[in-house]
Amino acid sequence: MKKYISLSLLLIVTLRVYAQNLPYITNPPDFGKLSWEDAKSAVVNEESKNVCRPAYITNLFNQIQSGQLNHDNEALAIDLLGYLRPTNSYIIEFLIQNIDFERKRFSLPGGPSTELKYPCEGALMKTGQPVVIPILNHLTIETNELRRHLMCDVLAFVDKPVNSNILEGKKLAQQQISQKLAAESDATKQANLKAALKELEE
Amino acid sequence: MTCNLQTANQPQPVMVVLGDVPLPPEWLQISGQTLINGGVTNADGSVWGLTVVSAPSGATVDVTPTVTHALANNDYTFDVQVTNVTIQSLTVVSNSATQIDATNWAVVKPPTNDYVIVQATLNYTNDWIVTNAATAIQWTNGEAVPGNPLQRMVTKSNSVETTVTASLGSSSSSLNVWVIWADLTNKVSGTLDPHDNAQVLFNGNWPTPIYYNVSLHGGNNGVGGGNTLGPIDCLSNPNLNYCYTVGRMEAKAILQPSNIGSLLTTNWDMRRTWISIFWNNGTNSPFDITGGTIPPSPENDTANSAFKSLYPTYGDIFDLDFPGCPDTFGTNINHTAECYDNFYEYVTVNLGNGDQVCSSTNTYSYEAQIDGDAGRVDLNSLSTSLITIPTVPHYTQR
Repeated sequence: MKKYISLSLLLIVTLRVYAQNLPYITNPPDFGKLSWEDAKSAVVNEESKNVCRPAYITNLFNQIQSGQLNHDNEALAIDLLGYLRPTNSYIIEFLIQNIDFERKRFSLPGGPSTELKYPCEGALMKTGQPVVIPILNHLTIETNELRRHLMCDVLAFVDKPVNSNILEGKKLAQQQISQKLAAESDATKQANLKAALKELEE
Repeated sequence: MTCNLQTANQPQPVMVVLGDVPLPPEWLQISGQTLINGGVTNADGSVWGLTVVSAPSGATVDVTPTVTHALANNDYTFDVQVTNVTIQSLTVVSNSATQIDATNWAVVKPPTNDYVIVQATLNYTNDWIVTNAATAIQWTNGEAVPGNPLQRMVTKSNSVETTVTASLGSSSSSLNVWVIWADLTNKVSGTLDPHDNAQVLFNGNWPTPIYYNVSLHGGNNGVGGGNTLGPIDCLSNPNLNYCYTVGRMEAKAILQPSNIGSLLTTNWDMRRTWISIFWNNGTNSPFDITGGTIPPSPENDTANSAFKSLYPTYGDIFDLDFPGCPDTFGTNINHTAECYDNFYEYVTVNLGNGDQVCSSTNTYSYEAQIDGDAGRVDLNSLSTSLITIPTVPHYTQR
């Protein structure tokens, strides 16, 4: 998994921590120490708690980036990150960069599951509109088919109004990409955007 | 000496200070009651004596002290002061219920009867005054606490709201005691409840591959559409691609007392555990068995918030489940697939001290046997009864 961060950006996130109401929970469980079953339960349990979102998200994100989590728990930690709907542009960028990070272990279908094969894709879907512009920017340079497919999936899902056909979401995503394409003069980027449009036609 | 009492049945401590020759309070009576030592001594050595008298509103009460031990001159001076004894507040004795706000206290109905103890506080702390005035407290609702008129007890055996009021003269104070319970029903047939607004539903219906609000496992978002409950399969329902077969279940909990949902709005959860085993083509691995070994053991199976409707707008909350087969998700079958699941559903409430179970634990089960080679579903059953979980597969390996 790619690890992207710079000190200056981390400082911005940290400063926001101190502006929050501290009685809320600021520390997520340590996914590095949890069994997979406990990590799975933690995703459900933590989701319902009153958390101080910026601090909690920062601490959770730091765990994900630390390289200390095993692959399966890292996927679960990303699930939890998605439930928190991170709007920080650096985290969104991280999720897009790692959109093809693949989950290896799944729950049994004894209960309904939102465990997508690609947890960063799921986290971006849950985050919603803040991911649209960053994804459109990425589509101009994305040449990998799988990653492009996943980004288009996210766009269509995010653009789809609640209780609307996913085809409606695809149509709106196509409009956004077309606008981006119209404003783009670089031939390579135009080609990448056209490939994304084709992806949404399928 | 008389004193015009201002309020109905208002006990009033009468304080008498003795003049030139201080007398012990015990030598004096008012309305036939011997005064007690108030514990306050004046500079001249006189002592405040106290008694409590009650009278109807507007009544004139003679509070002239009489002396029970006559001295030589039979000449006395008294300073008589009259004040009201009032209810200052009501509270709940610690640990018998949890305070929700200024006037509301809640407790989960326990398995065996117990009581919430309500305690009145008066504007006097003198033990003698409190003891004597407490007998005049008029309580509304609850039951008397033997030997303690300052307290009232409310049974926890019924999930109702009880407003307990203590009145003393013109003063009164009330608090509400909520005994909480959730009447849980696991529905395996019929239709989805119109109050259920779980995010996964699409206009109140189960999602289909293109009409969905939540992206489900592996991008297989179709759970069959429509609003019916019970088992379905992809052979007869092209809108099902989440699994080859699923059992669509809705757990509904009606919160009690009926209007507790307007007081506690974000405190509820619905949880479950399960015991399950899957086989694909007659074989399985530890990942196909809850607990990892045969026989399977219980695991947490609580769903995330997308599958729940926990805001009690109409006084009820919901949890959806659609256990499916095979456990690889989707509709591809490796020759055969089979599953056997038992579920244990319950409701919790958080009153500020962590989740407490506030319902019975209700069961349901799901089992399916699919012969993918034959394109046939041999068993697809959703029930509120538990099943016997097998330890060997129905199908042999092909």
